[in-house]
Amino acid sequence: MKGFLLGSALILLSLSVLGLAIVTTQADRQRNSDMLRLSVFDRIGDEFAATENGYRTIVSEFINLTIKDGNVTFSDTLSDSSASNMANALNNFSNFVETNSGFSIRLNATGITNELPFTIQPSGILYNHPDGFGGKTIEVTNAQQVTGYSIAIMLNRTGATPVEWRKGPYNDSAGIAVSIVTGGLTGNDFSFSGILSRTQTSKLRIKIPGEDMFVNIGDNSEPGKLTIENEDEDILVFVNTTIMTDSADAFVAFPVSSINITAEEYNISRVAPVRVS
Amino acid sequence: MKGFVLTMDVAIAIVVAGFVLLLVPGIQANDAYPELESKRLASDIVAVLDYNGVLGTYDKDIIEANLSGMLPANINMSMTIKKFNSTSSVSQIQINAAITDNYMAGKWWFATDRGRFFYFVDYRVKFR
Repeated sequence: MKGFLLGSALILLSLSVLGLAIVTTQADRQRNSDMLRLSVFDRIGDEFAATENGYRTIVSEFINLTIKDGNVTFSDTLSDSSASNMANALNNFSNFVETNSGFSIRLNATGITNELPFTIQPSGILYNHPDGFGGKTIEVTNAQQVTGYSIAIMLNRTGATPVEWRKGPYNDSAGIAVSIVTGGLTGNDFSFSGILSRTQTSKLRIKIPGEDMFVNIGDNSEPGKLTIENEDEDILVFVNTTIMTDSADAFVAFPVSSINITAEEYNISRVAPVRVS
Repeated sequence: MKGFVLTMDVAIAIVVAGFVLLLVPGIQANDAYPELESKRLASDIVAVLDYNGVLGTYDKDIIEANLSGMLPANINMSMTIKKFNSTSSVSQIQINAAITDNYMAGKWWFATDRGRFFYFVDYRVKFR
């Protein structure tokens, strides 16, 4: 009887220990699997951040993009045939990343290289080149939350003169703070600083021998809209623009570009637009 | 009776020893968490060095000075930075002596000079 009891107890103990060992082994395997998955998440995060920062650096260097206290400042050259240099740089960088990534990575920079649109978030203000980056027009739309514009225009052509400045009547409940200065004009350069209507268009026309250029601010159907257009496609017009918002944590996102990184064997992927802050 | 007790004793010892052996991989696996943390720290350091323009200097002394200022004393880290023009490798620099064993590795890339040059960073990290 004693032997039977001792034997049974030993078998029970052995089964308990065996069960515990199996559970421990399974937990160990699960932990290893989790570690591997965590490591993959980590690597994807790194590659995404590195790629996003690469785009940010290239675009920022081309348009001198800065963001500070809710103010987004950038430079543009209208009617600039060398603007395709930025597209080439971004495409080359995309190829470089795709070659060196440890994952399946697809980069779509077409949206940046074509019209260089970006949105200023969280307000959703859209900055765009309707006829292509390096074309003749800059537009700022969805601009209800723009609090002000600061625009500096430099013309590289003798004989250019401001010929018309027409202010829309200031009858808005909240106007828009605007400053405009020009450089390189023949005779007196133009400058203005004050509050303008969001809904009634204020228009500056600059006569360039051959064609004109325009700065339009305010629009009845699109309050706060800004359009800068150079109709003389034979000369370069340098424009430095600051879009002011009251959001201190404003950031810029390129909405029609994306980074898509996939680790197929782990069924993990990350797709997101490029963000600059 | 003595023989029976001795047999039981041996059997229990074998079971306990097996149990301990089975637990060892679990104990070792736990050690990987801090390793992963060191990798996370290293990737954060590389990102910061990129964001603040230190990597873009492509200067061994400047990068090493900034790296040593950010690295905890118990962690060793090395980097190989390869410079490319748009098509091919141009040169490379080695930041700290390359770690060759028991390391966690990661990669980073960045661009300078309006996309004229691209850089591939291969970094390695381990506890001292």
